[in-house]
Amino acid sequence: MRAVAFFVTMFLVALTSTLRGADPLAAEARPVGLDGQPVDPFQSGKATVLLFVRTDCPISNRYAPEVRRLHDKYESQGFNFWLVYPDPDETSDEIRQHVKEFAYPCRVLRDPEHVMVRLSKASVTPESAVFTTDGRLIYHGRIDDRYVDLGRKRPAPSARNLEEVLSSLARGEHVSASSAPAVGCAIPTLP
Amino acid sequence: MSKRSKARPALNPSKSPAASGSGTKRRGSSVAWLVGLGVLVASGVVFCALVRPGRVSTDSALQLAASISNERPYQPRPPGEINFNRHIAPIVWQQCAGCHREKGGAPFPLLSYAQAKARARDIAKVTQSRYMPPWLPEGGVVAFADERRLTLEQIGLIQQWVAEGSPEGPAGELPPLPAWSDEWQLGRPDLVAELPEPYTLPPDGRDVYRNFVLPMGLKEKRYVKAVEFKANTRVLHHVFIRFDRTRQSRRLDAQDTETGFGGMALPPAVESPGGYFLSWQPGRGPVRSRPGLSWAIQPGSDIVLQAHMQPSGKPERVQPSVAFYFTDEIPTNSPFKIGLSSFELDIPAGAHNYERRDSYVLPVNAQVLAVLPHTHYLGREVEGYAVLPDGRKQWLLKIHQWDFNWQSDYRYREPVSLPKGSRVEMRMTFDNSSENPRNPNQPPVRVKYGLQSSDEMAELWLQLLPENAQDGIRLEEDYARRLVEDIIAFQSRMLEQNPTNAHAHAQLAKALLSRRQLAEGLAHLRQAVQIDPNYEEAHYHLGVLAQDSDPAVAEAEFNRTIQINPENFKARNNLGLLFMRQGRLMEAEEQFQAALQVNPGDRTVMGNLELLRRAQTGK
Repeated sequence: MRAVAFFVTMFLVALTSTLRGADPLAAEARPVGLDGQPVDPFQSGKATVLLFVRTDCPISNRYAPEVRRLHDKYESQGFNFWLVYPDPDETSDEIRQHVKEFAYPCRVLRDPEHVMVRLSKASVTPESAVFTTDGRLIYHGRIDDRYVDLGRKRPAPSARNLEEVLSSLARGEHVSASSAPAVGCAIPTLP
Repeated sequence: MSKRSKARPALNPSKSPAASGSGTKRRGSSVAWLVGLGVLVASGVVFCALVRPGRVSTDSALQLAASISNERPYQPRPPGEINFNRHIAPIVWQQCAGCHREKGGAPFPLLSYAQAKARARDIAKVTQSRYMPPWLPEGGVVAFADERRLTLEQIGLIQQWVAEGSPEGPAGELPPLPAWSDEWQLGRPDLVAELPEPYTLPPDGRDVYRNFVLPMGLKEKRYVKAVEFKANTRVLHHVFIRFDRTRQSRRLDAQDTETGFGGMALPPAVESPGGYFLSWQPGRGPVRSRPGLSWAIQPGSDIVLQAHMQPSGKPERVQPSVAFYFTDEIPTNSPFKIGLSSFELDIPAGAHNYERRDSYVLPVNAQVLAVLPHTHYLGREVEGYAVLPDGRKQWLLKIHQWDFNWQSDYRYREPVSLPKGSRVEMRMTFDNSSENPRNPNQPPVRVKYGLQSSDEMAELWLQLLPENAQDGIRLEEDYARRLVEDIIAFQSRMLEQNPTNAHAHAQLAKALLSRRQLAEGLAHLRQAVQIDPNYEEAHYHLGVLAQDSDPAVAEAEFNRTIQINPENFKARNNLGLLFMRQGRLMEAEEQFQAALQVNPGDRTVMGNLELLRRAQTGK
């Protein structure tokens, strides 16, 4: 399966610049919804926003209100928000409970094979990734710069990196690919 | 307040029945009330922490320090030797799992191999940086009780284990899992107080500082030998435990629509147990008094918890409780707190390495039992040490990188003996640059001394145990003299900068009055109320000053004080005394009763009421 995912990634790199509107995911490598069925998060709209989270990462949890705020502001402007749970050990029931507890309004997918992790170049939770509808990764990294390191944080963020990208896209501006390092709980590599 | 517990009409300023706010518990030095000046009381001062019995000479303390500083660096093991079951589990269980378990307070458990493996990279990172376990003092300079600090050996083992892919090891090498209890750790408490109504912490926003009032329902004075705090939630980050014998905190609570009340400045009546620190942080167990050093808690006291909370992303129900263990043994000695501090803090915007120092020469032999550093978000290095009369240096505390979130008091494993003439020193540095992520001001601004978290403080408190009661009094008087001098110097400077600073006039007046410089004190009080006609404390002291010389002025000043703050029970008590002396017994009773409404059981007021009853019944 990892080989497939690797292939998918390479495939994407090769094709995204030429194949507008192509499905970035081969069907068998798709992440799954909470019902276990494959899900394609890349749908029509301005862009797809992935937010990597886990149920027991305190930094990821602390961002729940900010995720809600961004969702409420941008989903209606044509952005697709998805929560992505990369830990294969988290069950669908635990995730449902977590979504309810933290009042996440976004759709949810599980990424037990780390297909989305690799596509998004995610390394920690919380981390965000923004894909254009043609499957280009145009931003990945922190939501904002509130956390400087584990245990070191600003009283309030001074740069809202994800929102800057979303607002540029919402205004229809050209956005070149960028990233900013995220601080949080390391996503464990698959055995 | 014990020294003023005898009911006697107040006839001079320093003996005025200032029923509360006296920060000290020892028999009455005339300046003791100054020790309780708001600026000091409202800071991080609290505690009840005790150290194991036994004395060590300074020599052996120094040897002890030397032996720790020679901590061996990690010797890497042959590749493949280290595994979880044999090497890592014992470290994690001993140093992490106290919190990192179900109901342990930390966000996730670290009990099994799978749990540790899934976090392996984070564990390696945070132990290497010493973010975890949270413990600010550097090792190798002085030994503290209950240190939550990894050795170089332990950190090295974790690093190598993670670097080699975090192997599990043979099942047979896993020791039995320790048992943790979620019950009170010292058995059934004598009294448990719980926050009556839970507070709901919002899911988002900045950190919250809030004061919670927990009635104890204590009917008689008790001596406390141990205290244990229990958080019901992970969002409580640190808590200072204080007490209020008056009803002022309850009323502030009632005036606020939510549970508790906000703000960092507490009513002056809120005190930590005299001579003790009392605080809680995640991972901290019960705080026990050492034999002979229990402390008294007065009937009718409410617990006031000054809590620091961090939002978690969802609404959190906060409802902590505090357990008390009492003893019938009367204390045989009492510790005394001294504070090294710097009111002159004035940190330029952008300064990377602003430094403040303070020192104090001990007038008696004493043992240092515990230390409490306090600064806010700009503080970086914290150092405390003593220069002994023979010139040797004894470390008391060294913090390389201060972290407001993990502030605590620290008890020495063995008391540190300091001979008379030792000079205890504090040194702190501050980073007010934009590179300090915790800086509350971006871009940075000039920051001065103050209680709010956007202001700064520099304090190092030492819990000292003098050899006997006489030495205790000498220490207290000497320290109070020094404090008065500091206050006079500081407030005079403030007035040079701004002659219309009412607060500076009033604080300077109080210090001068304590030195019997009555005319000068009076002049500054008058200036204070001229600048700020609603300055309650200044009116109160003007009343006290006029009690003997001009009853009409005193009456007017006390009335004005009460008009500004109907809950000023000291003003009501003094006004009652004034009426009593004038034979206006009905009015006197009215005032005493009103004072008792605010501060039920106030012994000074009750004593005065008793005198009044005798006067009413014809002596």
